[in-house]
Amino acid sequence: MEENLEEKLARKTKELEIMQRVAVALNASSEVKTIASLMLNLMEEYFDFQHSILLVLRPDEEVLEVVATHGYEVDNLGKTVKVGMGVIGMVAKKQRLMRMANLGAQRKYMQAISKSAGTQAVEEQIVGLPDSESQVAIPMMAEDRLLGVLSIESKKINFYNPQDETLVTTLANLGAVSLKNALYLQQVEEAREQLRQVNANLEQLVTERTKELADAHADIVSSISYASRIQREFIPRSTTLQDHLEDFGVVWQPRDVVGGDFYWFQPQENGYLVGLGDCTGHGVPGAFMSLVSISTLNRIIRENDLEDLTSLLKQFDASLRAQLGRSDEENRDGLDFGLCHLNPNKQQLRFVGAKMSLFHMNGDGVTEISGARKSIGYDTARKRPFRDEIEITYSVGDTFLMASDGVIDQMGSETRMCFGKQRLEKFLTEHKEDSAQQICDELITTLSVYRGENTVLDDVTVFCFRPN
Amino acid sequence: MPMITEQHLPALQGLIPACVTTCSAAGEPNTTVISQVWYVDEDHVALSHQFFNKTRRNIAENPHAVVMILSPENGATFDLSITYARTETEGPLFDEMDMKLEAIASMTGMSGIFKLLGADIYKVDSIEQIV
Repeated sequence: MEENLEEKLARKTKELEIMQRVAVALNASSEVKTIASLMLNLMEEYFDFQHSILLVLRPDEEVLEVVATHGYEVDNLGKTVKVGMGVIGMVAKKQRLMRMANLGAQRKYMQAISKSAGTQAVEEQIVGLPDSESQVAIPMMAEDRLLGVLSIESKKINFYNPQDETLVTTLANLGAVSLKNALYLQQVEEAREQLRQVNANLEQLVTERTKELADAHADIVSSISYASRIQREFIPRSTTLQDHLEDFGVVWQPRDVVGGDFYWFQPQENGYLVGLGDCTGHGVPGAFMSLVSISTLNRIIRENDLEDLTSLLKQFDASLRAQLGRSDEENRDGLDFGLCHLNPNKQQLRFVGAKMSLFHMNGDGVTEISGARKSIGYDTARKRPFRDEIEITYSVGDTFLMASDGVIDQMGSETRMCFGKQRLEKFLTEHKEDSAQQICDELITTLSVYRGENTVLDDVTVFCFRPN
Repeated sequence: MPMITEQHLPALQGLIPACVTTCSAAGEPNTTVISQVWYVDEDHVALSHQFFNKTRRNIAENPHAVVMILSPENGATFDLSITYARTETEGPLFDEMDMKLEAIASMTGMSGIFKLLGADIYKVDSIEQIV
């Protein structure tokens, strides 16, 4: 009797010690595996529970994963047990402790019945001992939620007694809260790591894309800069103009590096031709249109001997339509164009315009000589007629000016209206005595002030000249 | 005076199969081997009801039976005279028996086939040690 009491006291003392050590360790660590390993080690140290295992329920709640083991020859870490499968799985499913005393006999009994019933044994990976006889498995619960299962097992029959059950239960409860916190921390850490990975990948991707974009941009800028050089070759050189005009001014400002505006100059036997075109769009498509237009004009002049400007304009229109209207779609490309022929000997100027006006400045003021309300090219304008050329006799000192839409269509930041023809005529009235280049420069300055904070909407081209 | 005492408990853990003998109304006896006699309380034991067999039929006709249990510790053998009291299909005892059965059944592909239908509770009328 006395011996029995001493035994019980010794066991209680050991139980208290293990509880104390586990409690201290639990407070010191927030790592799932550390906590689990310590619990298992102490169980062997104090009670000779040689084989123990701790499994944690995965977030999908269908599978338990081994996070710590003690005393096995094979590595069980990372192995899984389905909820509902075997002793451990069933403890998880029912969330109740289970103590088995003679697993071997029960397995054999069941296998015999299984064989006679013709069912197939389930091929599951073995977690723990393949030939265990005794097992105590206990669910680790925190606030009615299953976190995992703690299991001890032995090859010996009927190895564990009800006191062992109590010890394992107490340990499991003690560990459950810490395990819960550790699992939570682990999940947070995993989520953070995932986030960091995603972030890093994203940053890498952004860096790569930015570089690709920068390279592509550099390529495009380089191409367009080169295209700009080519386009400039198609624009008359100042020296050519100077040979024929003493007083002239030019503004050629593509909104982008290249543009759809152009001016054109062609010496003739009895004078010269001056043209100004404003093609569909701006940027690269506009530039293509301008090159096609200039080439077409040059070809018409080279191949024909046209005295009549209206016929020249009609041929220009027909030729462009033939070049651009090859697809079945409606042709939406074309240009506004003004063309003057000057004969300095006769002091005679002839003008035709396709949606382009010529402004004539002299002592009487500023006169707008309108062109036809029809552009060149566009299908929508096909049926409208071109006007016959207008012939005027000018005096020495008279000034002429043509401008693309970019001038009169520019929106003003204060007025929120277009610059318009009235403002242009007023400006020209005020500056008609200035040199042609001064008129151009002043016009650009005035336009810039008028525009204010607004963006430039279109290419801007002005050609101003005062015949000798 | 409790019927089941500490000396009987080792024999009620299912380590050594038990023999249960029943008798039909016509007086025909039947003895069969069962895997475990479960301890319920000092005056009651339980047998698992998994199949409709001869034992169940006899008990329906005659509720008295004798079950022989063996202690794995010392070989002590006891005859328990028992009388069928009731069948439980839920509650802590049923759950524990069901859970253990299912745990083993799940490992041998017998889930759903080898199923506990009920926990048959018997009152212990007397116990006689025969070895």
